[in-house]
Amino acid sequence: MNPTIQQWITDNARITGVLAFGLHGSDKSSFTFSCHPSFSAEALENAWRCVAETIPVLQLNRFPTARFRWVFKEVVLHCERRRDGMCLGIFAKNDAQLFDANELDRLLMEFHGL
Amino acid sequence: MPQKQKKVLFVDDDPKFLEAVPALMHAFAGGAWEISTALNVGEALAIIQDRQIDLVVLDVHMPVVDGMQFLSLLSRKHPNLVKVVLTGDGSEIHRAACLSRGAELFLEKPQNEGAWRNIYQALHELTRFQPEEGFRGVLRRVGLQDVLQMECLSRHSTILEIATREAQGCIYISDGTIIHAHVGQRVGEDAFNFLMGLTGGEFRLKPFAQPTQQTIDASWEFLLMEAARVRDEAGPTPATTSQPGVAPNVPLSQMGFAGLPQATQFLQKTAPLADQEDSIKPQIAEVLVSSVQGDVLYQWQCDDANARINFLEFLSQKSRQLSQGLPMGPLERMEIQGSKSRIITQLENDHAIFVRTNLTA
Repeated sequence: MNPTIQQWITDNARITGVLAFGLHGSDKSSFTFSCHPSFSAEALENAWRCVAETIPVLQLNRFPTARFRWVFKEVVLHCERRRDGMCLGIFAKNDAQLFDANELDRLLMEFHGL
Repeated sequence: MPQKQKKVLFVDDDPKFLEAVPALMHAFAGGAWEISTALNVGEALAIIQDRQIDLVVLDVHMPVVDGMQFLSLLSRKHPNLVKVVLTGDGSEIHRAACLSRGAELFLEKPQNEGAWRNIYQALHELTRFQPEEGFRGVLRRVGLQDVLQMECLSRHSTILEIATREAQGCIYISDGTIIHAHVGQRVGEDAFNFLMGLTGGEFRLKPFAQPTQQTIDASWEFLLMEAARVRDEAGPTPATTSQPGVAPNVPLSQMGFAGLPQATQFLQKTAPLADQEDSIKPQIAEVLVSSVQGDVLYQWQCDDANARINFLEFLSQKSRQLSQGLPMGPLERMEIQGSKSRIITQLENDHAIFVRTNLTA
């Protein structure tokens, strides 16, 4: 797994409203990082495995995989996939007051540049 | 309090596998599992019917009805049954196809005992998972043809009673063989084809009783194919009751799907993709609204409604797994954005929506 991106995730772990990160490589390697005590490592790994399993199903249906997000009642999981197949997941609070959309744009833009 | 013993079924056409692996799993489980085995789909269906199985572990490559078809059948008839594929062919295409057909896990057969322990642990975790009801539990209406296929494969004896507003008829199945059918003045294959051609109505399974006459001697496979051919030649039959069908072209705005406008605003607040032009205009290219049972309530320009419904079911299943143990609440929608198209799916308790838009400059 790319250590630069892992470090970048660690650096951004304190953004308000961000609950966790996930990273999935084209070589099927995975990395998860919890920023909130309610996101246990075990549950987060399970959630991130589900995201990884969704990508080939999207491809099978000929759907785009560049950007997709799961909108849950309390949490939005933003997934961004680069051209090299690296997929970033940001678990954030589903509340515009608690998670700034501009921060999301910044994170996604930086991810593409890493 | 001792935990309830879980009933696990292994389905594989390799007898050596069925001899060795369940024994290994039994050793790992230490009495926590009651393990059954089946060499083919027919045997598996009979066991599922009789023993209230909690988990099915099946191979992809099997003769007659392969693992993919079996997954689809199980997802329809036993939507809450946990299904796992364990195969020697771990190709990506098979993996995606199996997951989209309702498999909870797609595992490759390992080569050493240590790896088999990991397989056991993954399966054991799954048996602890209790599926929910409703759309999020992936309920799908089972079609008449599916039921017939199931009953014949399972070698059951039963009477399938079919009723519409206009007609009422029965199909008799004895030890998995269709032996008689009647509807009105029609009997035999003529009656069978007529009943299979109905697109509306209700059906139910009744205990078997010998018919007064035996009018059919062809195999069920031939009968189903012939009925499909007759139905195709006859053209579409208007739905008479609540069977799956396509609703007339009612504007979505009149159907009361309050969540859709909210969903269609999606991603307008986030930055465009790297290769996306600024002046793009979304145009709706495809819409499908499905009931909780998987019936098409509304569709517009949807070339493959079944594929869309399968995808909605996959999302329903995957979102439950994804949020397990996390304070996320239920899934409201999924939004997918590419440089040329956007897709929104929304899952509600009584319906699901799929909308695809094309992006044009």
